[in-house]
Amino acid sequence: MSEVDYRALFAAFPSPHMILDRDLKYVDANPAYEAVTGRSRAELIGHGVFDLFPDEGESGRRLRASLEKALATGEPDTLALIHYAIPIPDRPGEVEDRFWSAVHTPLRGADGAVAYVMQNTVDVTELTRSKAARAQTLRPGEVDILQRVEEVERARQRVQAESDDFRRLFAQAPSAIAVLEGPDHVFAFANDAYGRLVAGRELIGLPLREALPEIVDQGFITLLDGVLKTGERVSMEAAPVNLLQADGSTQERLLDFTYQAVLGREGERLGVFVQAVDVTESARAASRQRLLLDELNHRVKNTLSTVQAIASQTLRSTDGPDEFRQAFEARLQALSRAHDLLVRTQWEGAELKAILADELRPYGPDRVSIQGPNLFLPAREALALSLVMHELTTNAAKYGGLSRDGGGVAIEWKLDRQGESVVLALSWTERGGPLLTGRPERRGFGSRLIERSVTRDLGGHMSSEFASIGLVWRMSMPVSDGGVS
Amino acid sequence: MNRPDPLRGLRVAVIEDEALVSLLIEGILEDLGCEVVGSAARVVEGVDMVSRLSDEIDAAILDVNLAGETAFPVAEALAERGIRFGFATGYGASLPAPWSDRPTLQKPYILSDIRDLLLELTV
Repeated sequence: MSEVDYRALFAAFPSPHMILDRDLKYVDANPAYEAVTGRSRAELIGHGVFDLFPDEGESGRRLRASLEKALATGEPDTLALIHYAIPIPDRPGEVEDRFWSAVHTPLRGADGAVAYVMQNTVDVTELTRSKAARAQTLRPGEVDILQRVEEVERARQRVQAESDDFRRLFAQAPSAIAVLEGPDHVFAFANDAYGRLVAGRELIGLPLREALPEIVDQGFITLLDGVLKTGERVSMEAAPVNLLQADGSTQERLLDFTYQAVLGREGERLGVFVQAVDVTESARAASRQRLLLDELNHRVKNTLSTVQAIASQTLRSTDGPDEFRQAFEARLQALSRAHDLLVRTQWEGAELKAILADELRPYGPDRVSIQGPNLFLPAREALALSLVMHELTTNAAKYGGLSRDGGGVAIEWKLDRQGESVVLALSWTERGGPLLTGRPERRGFGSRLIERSVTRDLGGHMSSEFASIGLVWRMSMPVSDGGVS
Repeated sequence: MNRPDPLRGLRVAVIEDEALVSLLIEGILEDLGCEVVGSAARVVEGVDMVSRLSDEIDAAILDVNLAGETAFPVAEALAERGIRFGFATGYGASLPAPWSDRPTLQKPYILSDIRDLLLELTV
């Protein structure tokens, strides 16, 4: 068998054929092409098609797009009808309007990559003359063909426009959208929001594991494989994803996302459509809200317990409803004042001086002296100490230094640093009250509360000395270094 | 009353870090006719009290949270000595194993709840 001479075959094609390289420069053209363009093969080869036949208009753009598409995709592309003016060979500077139908076929080089594109053109100018002219000069069959060509071309343009519209719509959609193709999940499309999510990294044409290496070990590739394999959609809410940021750090984002198989005409699974919404901020806000509600519930329960205990203990240590009511209300007020102090610091705590000043406000500076360094107590300690100071004050007002004109109380404290820890040492010294004859016989709720609070709530020690001029009460407790200023 | 009150004279230990709440529980125990044999506020104190007084404690009420620590070391000390106990909690959260089946008091603590808890423990 003799080999077919492809060069001769190419030259023998009756319709115009030419071949361009990837720079859109002529590599070859057959005699039919030379005839229709009025240019010889020698004039064409090595020159750019748009240098020889420039067209800045719509036709030029369409022709270039079709050639580039064939080169890029490796698939033939057809221009059913294109208007293109070419120079008239014998009349320099003049051009002639022609209509063409063109098929662009990619040609692969030895390495399998698309190296050339071959154009087969048919001059359909005669077919496109006015309808009236057509009716006179064309046979009926030719008119049908022309009409069909025009319809196909219009339909193609409509589809292209619609496709462009959809592409724009997806590109600008508020949620992140991407299309991954094939078993390696190669990015075929990613919109602006998706780009923002991955700090603007290069995606198109890259497999997922190369484009976003940090997600390889986060389970998403397995999910995508599953979607491709089964065709079943996967949706997750507020799923944590660690993503690389522009500054090189990794940040956790919470995403609501859906993976859905992209199906071909035959139902075959071509890839995965990815849609994701970044819900990090709203998920965090919801979690903060839950924490706040839990914390509120906890505090309300604690306060109810405290009030319940105060009521129950006050009931035990008072005679009759009037006395109960007076003592109970005074304790509630002390608790309420302490809460007011704490609210001012978002419940962080309160200054010891402020606690004392609040409790002893009714007695004025000539009867009460308060002296010591600044000390900020955490909320729990501040509450406990408020109640202790209330009991001491109530006691002094009933039986001690604050029960008579001219009497008073001096409160002093200092902070002792003992190695790593700091100890508050406070004294409460009454004067000018009734002469004391030793420890009182009855130990009421007040004294029990003071002792329990110091040892339990404050983790400290206390002592009471009933000197003849009045009560000297001392307490010491550990305080945090942070509260000392 | 025909039958003797099963709670009368019951020796109960209270491990609770909040002063007012401990006074409340102890007051309720006295109202129920129980005897408060021990009172502790911290995990270390609680473990120490249990080892010192193990022969004198019939039952214990244990706050789950003791000044920021979980009270489970005290629970282990009680369980080792076969002392029956119930938990008290302000959080309403469920307890981890192996304590999830233990009777539990919820805040605010009221007399009838404490009585029911002790009756359950002494059955």
